[in-house]
Amino acid sequence: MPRWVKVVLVAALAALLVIVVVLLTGGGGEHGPGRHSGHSAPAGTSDHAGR
Amino acid sequence: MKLSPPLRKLSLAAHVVASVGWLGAVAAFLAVAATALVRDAQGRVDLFPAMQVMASAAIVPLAFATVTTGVISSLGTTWGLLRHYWVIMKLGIVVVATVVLLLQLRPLSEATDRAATTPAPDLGAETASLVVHSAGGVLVLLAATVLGIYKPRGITRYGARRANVQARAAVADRREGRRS
Repeated sequence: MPRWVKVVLVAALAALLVIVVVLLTGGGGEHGPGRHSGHSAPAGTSDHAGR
Repeated sequence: MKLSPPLRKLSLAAHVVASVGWLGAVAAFLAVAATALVRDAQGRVDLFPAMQVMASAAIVPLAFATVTTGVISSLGTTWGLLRHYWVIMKLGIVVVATVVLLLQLRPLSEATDRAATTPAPDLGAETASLVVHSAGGVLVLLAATVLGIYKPRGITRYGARRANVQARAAVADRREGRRS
């Protein structure tokens, strides 16, 4: 395997590791299946509020 | 299966147009997403429909066109799909970029729906995510473009075996030619 391939693979693995760590520590914002749960319109802004 | 020279040129031209077009479309998307990020909430809301159209009408079709024309170009020429490390790496980059792109479509669509239906939604987190993902997309597509232009050396074991078989077949053909 040429050296440039090894260098690219190591860099790709390092980038993947950084992405996984960022996601696990919550630094990537809301990711994952539950990212859109809990969204609700601010109180009083819904068209249906009070109806 | 090897393509005839005119078909080879046509598939290469289609691949270059699709892949560079994909890179340009993602760069334009990044520019719009970055603009949305520095605007206020209403400014962001105004830009989400444009980002949605750019993604579904330009970026996704160009991504699929890039993968398809790339596979046709490599299989139809002596480069092959699994013979050279640069081809394998380029294929890996465009496949991963396409998967990430498809995974981003739903959040983008949901954010665009919220922009249209919710009064004054705060789409800051969604916009930041789109900026990060499109910036990453520009970087990896630039890397794929550079790989395609420089074609760094390196043959896989499979590629070496195939080259050996073809060299032997060529020698055998020459001997047959001398005898007849």
